[in-house]
Amino acid sequence: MFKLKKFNHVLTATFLVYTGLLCALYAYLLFRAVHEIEDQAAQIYLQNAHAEVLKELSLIEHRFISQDIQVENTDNVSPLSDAKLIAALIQHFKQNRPQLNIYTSLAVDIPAYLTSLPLGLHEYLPENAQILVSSLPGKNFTLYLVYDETNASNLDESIPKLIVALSSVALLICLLGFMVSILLGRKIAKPLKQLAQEVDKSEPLLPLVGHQRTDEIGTLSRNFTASIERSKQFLTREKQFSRHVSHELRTPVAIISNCISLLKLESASDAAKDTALNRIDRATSSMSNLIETFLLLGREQETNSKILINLRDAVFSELEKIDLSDKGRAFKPKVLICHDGIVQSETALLGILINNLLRNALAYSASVVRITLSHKKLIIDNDIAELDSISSSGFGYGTEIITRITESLCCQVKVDKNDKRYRVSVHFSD
Amino acid sequence: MFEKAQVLLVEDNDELAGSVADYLTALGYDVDFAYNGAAGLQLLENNQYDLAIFDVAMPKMSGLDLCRKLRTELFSPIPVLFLTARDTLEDKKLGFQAGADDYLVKPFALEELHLRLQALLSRGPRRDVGIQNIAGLTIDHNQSLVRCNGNQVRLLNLQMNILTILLKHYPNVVSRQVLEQAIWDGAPPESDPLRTHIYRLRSTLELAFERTVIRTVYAKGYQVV
Repeated sequence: MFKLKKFNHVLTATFLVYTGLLCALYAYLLFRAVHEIEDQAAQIYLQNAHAEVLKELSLIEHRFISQDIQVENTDNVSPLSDAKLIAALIQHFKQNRPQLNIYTSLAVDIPAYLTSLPLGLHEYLPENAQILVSSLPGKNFTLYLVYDETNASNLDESIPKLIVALSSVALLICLLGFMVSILLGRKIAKPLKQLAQEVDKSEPLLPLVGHQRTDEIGTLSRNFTASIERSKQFLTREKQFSRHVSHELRTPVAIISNCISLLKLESASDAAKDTALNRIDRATSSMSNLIETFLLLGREQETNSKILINLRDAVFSELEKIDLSDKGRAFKPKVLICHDGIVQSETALLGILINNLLRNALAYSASVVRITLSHKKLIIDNDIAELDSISSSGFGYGTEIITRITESLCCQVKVDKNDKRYRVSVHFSD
Repeated sequence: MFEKAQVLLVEDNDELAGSVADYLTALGYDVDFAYNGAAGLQLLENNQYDLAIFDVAMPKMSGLDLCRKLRTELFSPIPVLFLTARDTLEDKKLGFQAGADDYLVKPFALEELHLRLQALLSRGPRRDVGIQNIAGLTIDHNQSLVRCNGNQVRLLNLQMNILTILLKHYPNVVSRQVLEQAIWDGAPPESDPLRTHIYRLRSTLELAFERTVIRTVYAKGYQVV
């Protein structure tokens, strides 16, 4: 039996059913056609017989009239009756057309089924007879010509043979159909199988086989190719992000490890050990923040997690978290906040984004950081101090993480910079 | 133990730099800082270090660029160790191709860093760095030697500096201002010593190689030929 789970088997089964049905239909039509031809032949036979009957009837009448004249001369008058005429006619046709039975409405032996028939051609299946009912011109009776098909041909006897022959042909056609369907199924399934094998490989060679085809398999191949490419790009992006995450975590881990090493040193001064403990504290805090950020980024985004946030409050909140005194710089830049704005966003991630942007602006600013707020935009603009005097005091996230945060918040970050100014614009979507 | 070895640490994260420096200081190293590549290059130009430790990703100039400049522009043979979070083979290859002597991936054990620094210091300056072939001359920046046609001459430090600056701009003419800026940071002594130093350098080279090496271009400056 077929395992109909396979495409070519389904195709074969479908093709086989179709071929079988087609053969049965053609056999039925052929069978019907033979019978129809037989009926038509019988009707033609009856029409010819009818014409012959009319002709013979005329001849018989003429013959009787001639005989009557002769009889009149001999004074022996015998008038020509319809019964006599019909009897002569029947007599004549019994010899010439033995399958033809002639009845009239006057006859007493007329079969009952004939009397109800109107004029025209009829088929009476119980008797297997073809009937022509007609009225003769100048006569007041109806003529019934009955053609008995029972013995007219050998067709009925040949029906079993005909069925066997037709069935054999049908079987042969089905067999051919079966073979064709297998070949066709394999031919059609071959590129699909190849495509499936290619897709199944751990590192499929792109573009996939069949991508140049113009049919549905070509479309499938191109769609698979595009899908695999998208998946690869996604994986590469995720790998890069994971790598970046690892890099981001390594710095605080390295600091903690270094400080522990220093604490173990006997030669280290007490001041150095105190500094090391403070560094461990700050590195641990930064690492916790980093991990919290990654957890937030990795969490499934829920649409209802977005709330209305006052940007001014958010900026103030993040400014408080940034310790400006620990920058190792001789001055603190001024922070100017202009206007106000309310946006719909996710509190924690937006806080992280603002914190990073502010931290960078404050770290690199020479004198003033200007923050401009609106309902759709946050702009942080700062001048740039000499780089020699700047160190990275905190653990500001890299571009990859900031990009991922902005993607998660559905906002766009645009950076404009030159040697003297650095301007970041965050556009919030509606 | 290489106590009081002069080490330059170029790292943009001051917490990390501080933790490394505190440890190395406790072990007896003399550690100098720079927070970006450009500042690091400036320190390397103006000071003598026994060893340099560079981060890779830094603002203004990356550690890789800094290392390349150290080798090809300053011709400095001092050992360089990269201290970075970049851990792929490709990253390491780039580091060594830039001229690094060692590569340590974060997070690392400071004891390991100390052991690696000791190993680098014990090997001393690189022998393959500091030889420059230009204008028919072979300059050994490590030994302040100049060779030409089988002859060689040892130059004084200042003479070597002047020749290095002239060769840096070869075959272009170098103005007095450029030379004075490079040698005396734009504030030369009032006695106009440049003319004297150029004269002595030119004489030394002509005497040793029997050909003109430096010529004066009137109203423009000096040029190596």
